[in-house]
Amino acid sequence: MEPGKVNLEVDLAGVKLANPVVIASGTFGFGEEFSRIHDFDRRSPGAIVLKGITLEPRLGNPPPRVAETPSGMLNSIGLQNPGVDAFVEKILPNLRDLGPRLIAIIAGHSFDEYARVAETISNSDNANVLSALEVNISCPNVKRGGMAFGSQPETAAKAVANVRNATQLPVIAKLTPAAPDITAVAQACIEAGADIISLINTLPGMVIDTRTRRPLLGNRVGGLSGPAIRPIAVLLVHRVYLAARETGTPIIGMGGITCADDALQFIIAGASAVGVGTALFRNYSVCTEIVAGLRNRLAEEHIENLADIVGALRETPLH
Amino acid sequence: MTSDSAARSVVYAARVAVTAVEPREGDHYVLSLRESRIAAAARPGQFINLIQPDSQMMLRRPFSIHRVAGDTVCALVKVVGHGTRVFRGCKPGELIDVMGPIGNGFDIEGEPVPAFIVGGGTGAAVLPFLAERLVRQGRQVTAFAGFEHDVPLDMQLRPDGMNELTELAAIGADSLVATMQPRDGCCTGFVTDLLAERLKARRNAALVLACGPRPMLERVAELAAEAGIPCQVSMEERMGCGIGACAGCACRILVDGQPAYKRVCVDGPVFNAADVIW
Ligand SMILES: Cc1cc2nc3c(=O)[nH]c(=O)nc-3n(C[C@H](O)[C@H](O)[C@H](O)COP(=O)(O)OP(=O)(O)OC[C@H]3O[C@@H](n4cnc5c(N)ncnc54)[C@H](O)[C@@H]3O)c2cc1C
Ligand SMILES: Cc1cc2nc3c(=O)[nH]c(=O)nc-3n(C[C@H](O)[C@H](O)[C@H](O)COP(=O)(O)O)c2cc1C
Ligand code: FES
Repeated sequence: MEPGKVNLEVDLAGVKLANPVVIASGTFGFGEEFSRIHDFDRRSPGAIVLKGITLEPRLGNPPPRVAETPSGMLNSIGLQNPGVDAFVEKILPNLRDLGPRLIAIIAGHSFDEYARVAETISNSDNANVLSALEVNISCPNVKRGGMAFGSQPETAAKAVANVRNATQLPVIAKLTPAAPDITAVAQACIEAGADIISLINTLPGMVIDTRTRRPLLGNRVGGLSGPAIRPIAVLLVHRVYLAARETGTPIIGMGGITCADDALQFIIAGASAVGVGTALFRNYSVCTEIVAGLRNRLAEEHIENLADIVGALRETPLH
Repeated sequence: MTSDSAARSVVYAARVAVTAVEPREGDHYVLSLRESRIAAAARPGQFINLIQPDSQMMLRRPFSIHRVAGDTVCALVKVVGHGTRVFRGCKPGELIDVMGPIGNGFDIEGEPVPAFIVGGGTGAAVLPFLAERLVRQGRQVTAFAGFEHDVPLDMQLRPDGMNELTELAAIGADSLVATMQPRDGCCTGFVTDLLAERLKARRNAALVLACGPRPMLERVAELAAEAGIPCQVSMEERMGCGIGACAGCACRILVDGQPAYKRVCVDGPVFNAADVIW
């Protein structure tokens, strides 16, 4: 089969993507920064999740904010952003012709904040630039809201419901691997109106500078991303897939994806689309490479539609 | 310096061959790469961001542009960890990924007034390229280079018995070298003490440009402020993307008098010393 004949299109609860690669929030600014690179292909991903937005402008956490770790990195950006008003007035209008589908992601300290940010974005003249709203109930870098909400089904559902009630856009709930029972959280989010589930966000971690005996990060704690978390992410995607399969809710799986083979693991585990974040920092062409790699692999295996292998995990043979 | 056009300028990315790795005193080496577009576009104070694709590195490593010669770009590197060790082990012809030139660089447009340039530790990497461009503008240049003990730049003896940086002397720039540990031909102590002396003697500097460890930069900024001379400093911070997208490289800077976080990678690395919140 010709690689060009493979159909990589994805339909995420009505949100149609040209390919399954989604750039993960926080690693791509507001969509334009990587275009400084002379040959960056801005049409390479199927969708881009923008930087997180809060009600008020946020300065973010004190530096240092990033640290390299074995097969990964920690970050504690702390949701630095200009606030929702500046987002809808100054940023959103410029994103109209970016190319891939755009997804805005909301972070909040309180349930009310999620609702108000969702409302402001949805009521703006440029809301139609966006294809979906994502609810970040999984940020490890803020003291209230974020991961604290996403750890329990009740609070997760409440944050999602507040966004659901404030927008016509499809709603994505972004889950934290730190939740004691992530399948219960996923089910609660779906019941509360989430159309799509994305996972995983980063895992909390710390690095200590033994000379100063201080945490390396200004915020002490940061979120771990990159290949180090990939096996955890694949497992959790599969569990959520099994738990949510009946509802037909599509999953965006992410955590340490660096190549087409990594992406396929998530797809076979049950993800309809895959997120890529940290790998972009090493390899700005990673989206292009994953798309080409998926085409080649599926062609090799005579699989015409990517959708045909979503969740196609085989059982291990019994001995 | 922090103009939008500079911050928005094109960054080239390529997999290129290492052309040389030349050892310098102590744990230093000069890494040379052939990338003509970066060489042509580079301005002093900008940096390149490197990664060896087969290594364990997850993130690129930023290095100031040390020298540009034809289509070759050089970095002066000190071994401090995994990445800087990997690059030291590169053989000529080995391929690594480079991105650059990144950042705003020093603002050296405007009147070609005399300049004092200060480099501490690996921050001295910026001196040759910076001096070359300043001299080319017809400026009088005095360089102050400070080190703990090892001096990674070539030195030669002046008639007065003091050392100067060979490369700078060749283009007609004055230089002085300070080391913390006593060394023949070098002044002993802080490079900022040398700078203070010269500023006091009013050796007609009208611009101070500095790169080095934060405490040194803070002292340089203070001295320049006391002397009423404009000063620019090149800041260092740990980076994620190195292209302005992740806000990982935040540095506290005054914007319209209010504290804010600016990105070292694309808003900097060079900032007006008066705007830096130390
Ligand atoms: C704008 C800029 C210009 C620089 N110019 C030079 C130069 O000309 N010569 C030179 O020798 N060094 C320079 N540095 C510092 C250099 O980037 C670090 O020494 C290098 O990244 C260390 O990598 P490593 O893997 O050997 O160390 P490790 O400690 O193993 O690195 C771990 C992680 O921390 C980061 N890191 C560690 N130290 C620093 C640091 N001081 N600044 C930023 N990130 C750091 C690394 O990039 C890596 O992500 C510069 C830094 C910046 C920000
Ligand atoms: C520097 C950085 C910043 C991030 N910021 C956010 C954020 O603001 N909101 C969010 O939901 N996730 C954020 N993430 C998490 C990613 O979107 C993604 O869920 C996670 O990094 C796992 O994917 P990866 O291993 O491919 O990076 C951030 C990750 C990184 C590395
Ligand atoms: S390192 Fe990502 S914004 Fe500077």
